[in-house]
Amino acid sequence: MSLISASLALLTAANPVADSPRLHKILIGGGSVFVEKMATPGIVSVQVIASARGTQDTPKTAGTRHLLEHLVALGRNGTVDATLEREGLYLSASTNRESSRYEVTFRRSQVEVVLKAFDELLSGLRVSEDDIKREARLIKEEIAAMSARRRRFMNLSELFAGNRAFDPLGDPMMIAQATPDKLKKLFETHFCQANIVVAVSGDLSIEEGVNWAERVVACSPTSPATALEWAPFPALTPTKSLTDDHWSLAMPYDDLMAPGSLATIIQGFGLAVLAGGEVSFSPAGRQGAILVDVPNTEAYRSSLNQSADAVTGVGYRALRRWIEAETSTPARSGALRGRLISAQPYFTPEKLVEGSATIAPQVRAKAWAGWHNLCRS
Amino acid sequence: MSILATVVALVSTPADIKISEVLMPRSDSTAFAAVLSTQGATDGELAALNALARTWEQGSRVYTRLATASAAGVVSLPKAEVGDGYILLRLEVRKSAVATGAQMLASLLTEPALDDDAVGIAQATSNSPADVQALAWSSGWFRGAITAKEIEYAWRKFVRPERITVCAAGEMPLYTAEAALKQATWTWPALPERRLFLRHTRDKVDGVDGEASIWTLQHPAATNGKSLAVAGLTACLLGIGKESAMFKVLRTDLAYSYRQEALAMPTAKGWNLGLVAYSTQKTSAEVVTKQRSLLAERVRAWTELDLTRVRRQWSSHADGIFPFGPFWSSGESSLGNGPWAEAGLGALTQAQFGATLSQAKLLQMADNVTLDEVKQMALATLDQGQVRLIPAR
Repeated sequence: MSLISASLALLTAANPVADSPRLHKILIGGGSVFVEKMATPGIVSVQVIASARGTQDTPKTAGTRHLLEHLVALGRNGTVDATLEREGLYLSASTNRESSRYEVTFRRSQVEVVLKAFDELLSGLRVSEDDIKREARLIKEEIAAMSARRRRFMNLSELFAGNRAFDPLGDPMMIAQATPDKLKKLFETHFCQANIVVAVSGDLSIEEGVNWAERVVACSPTSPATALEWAPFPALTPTKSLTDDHWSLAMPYDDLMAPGSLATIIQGFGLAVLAGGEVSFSPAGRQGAILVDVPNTEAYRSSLNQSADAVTGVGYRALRRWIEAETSTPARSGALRGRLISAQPYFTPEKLVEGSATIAPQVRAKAWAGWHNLCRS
Repeated sequence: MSILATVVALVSTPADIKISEVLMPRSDSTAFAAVLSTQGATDGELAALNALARTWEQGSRVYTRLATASAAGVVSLPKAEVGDGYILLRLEVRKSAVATGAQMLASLLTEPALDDDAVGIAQATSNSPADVQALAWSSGWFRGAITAKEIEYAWRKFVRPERITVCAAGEMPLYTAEAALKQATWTWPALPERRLFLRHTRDKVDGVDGEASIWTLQHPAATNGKSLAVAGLTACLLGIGKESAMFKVLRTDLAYSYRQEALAMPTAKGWNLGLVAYSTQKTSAEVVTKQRSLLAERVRAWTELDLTRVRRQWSSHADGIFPFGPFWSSGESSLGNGPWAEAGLGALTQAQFGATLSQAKLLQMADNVTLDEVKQMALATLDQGQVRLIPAR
């Protein structure tokens, strides 16, 4: 695994988004290694973020990557959980629209156990028809046990994109149609070296982290001969729905780092704060969306009377608090930074904050007009 | 981080509020938690108090939502949770803003914003749970509109210094938070001039929207630190992680549920050990009885190796590797992480037991817990716990 470029070498960022030395290294196979030294005595997190590039869900396969996540997390030999939990550790796994993620936080002395677990996860998929039936049934249970807010976001996503493929949890009917062969092929592409970012964050030297991360990358399948591409996605339009006396709002953006997108995102945060609601924001490199869920109250309506500058100011603070929380532990920091790199190699939380602080007044006004149009339509 | 936490319990004389501090080296922020006892409230008063708690999340007359949300020193906006016999209010500030945090807490409690916006949001959120898990643990939600006048009445009657316990957690010199709280302005409301009879009734929750039914099982487990340590380990063995009894029985063996967990849930006087499972499958009292019996079989087979495993898991929680183990702050969420969690635990245990506990202290106590003790607690819960079945509708 040789290095073709060492980008963003040993960056130092300004407070409050941590000020730790970091290294992002792009490997010759196309995968990335990200290492961050944090002041977390003895504690480290290793995670694999596998991009959905080339493996995006379609309306006919909605939720298949989610099913794959369930199966991969069991491990090739089915011993991952027992091995980790004996050490007092847990594997956490999740699926987003843009990627899936597998993470373990541990004490440095436990590194070999953890690297062995990642080897079991990445070096092949063992799956039978019975495994698919069992996990498909459990995914149905997972979707049924969602919170009311999560359910509203799922329904909104379907309305917003026209099908279940936008929401990573997927459609139990489509999930049940997966076959072992299709899943093995999906595994080979989704986890190929070109698609993965291995993020190591915590109390370790950069050299140590690079070594561990490269060992994890080496476990994953080699990349296909042809470059992986994102499938085109239908154009998204602002959408809203009223359920359980809550407004669910979806506002799309194309390029995360464009000032107009940043204004839309931070105003979504601001609106949620002022109206006593919540935000669902998963930074995506392309065709992303910010979803906002607010109670249908006078406070919601009066928050629309605030000026673009006031909402942007509140939203900017909320975004900073969100980023601060999402970078506060090795697991969270590795997840956010790894997912941003997975979306676009040059994305960082610091750039999100910097970009959000310098949005021109006319861009703020235009973005706020977009929220007005949606909310008052 | 929390392993090194030192607990200092103090009694503050002005205003009779009990104040304690949990000192946490290397923490960047300080969290404040206040527990308000709601014991003795009628159903109508509880409904108004629930709404009052939601208005606290919208800021006070002085610290408005807009001002608080724009303030640089605020790490986490105020959050209020309603439990059985208490309301827990928490906020978190940078460690350089301890005085602001103390004043903000005092202002929220004694100068609530009972304007149209805050009351409107309180109305919208206090009558319905944000999550099915809140529904699973609450004994009921309330029906009917609540007015600002009713909320004000409940505030005047119940927000009294003798009902409040405060804990601050973070890296700070000893007595810093106590001094800041003493210097804060506490404008206590006058008692209501005459009694109001509030007529809201509890909605007994006969079903949950969606496809999954829920069953819960609760049993009183802890009335002091030692028994809380036993409850923590027992909850881990029963329902935390994929090696736990509930995961093995309900998910792996029966493919009954995706989500099943055990937890320690606070009450006004102690902690209950609780179990919960969500499933789309037909769930009757007989189904739950059968599952309890399968779980009891697995509990009887626990060995010292299982206890060692969960001690390690809990120690990982205390090292900050994972969120705060099996301890919840209300039906709405777990205690959380870092100073936020330690302040909540400190305030709750001070209000319940008269002793401020930290997770590090609990972990020390857990060292002396035996396999027999956790088995006994688990079996007693499975055998005598009160089951609630909430069907999907």
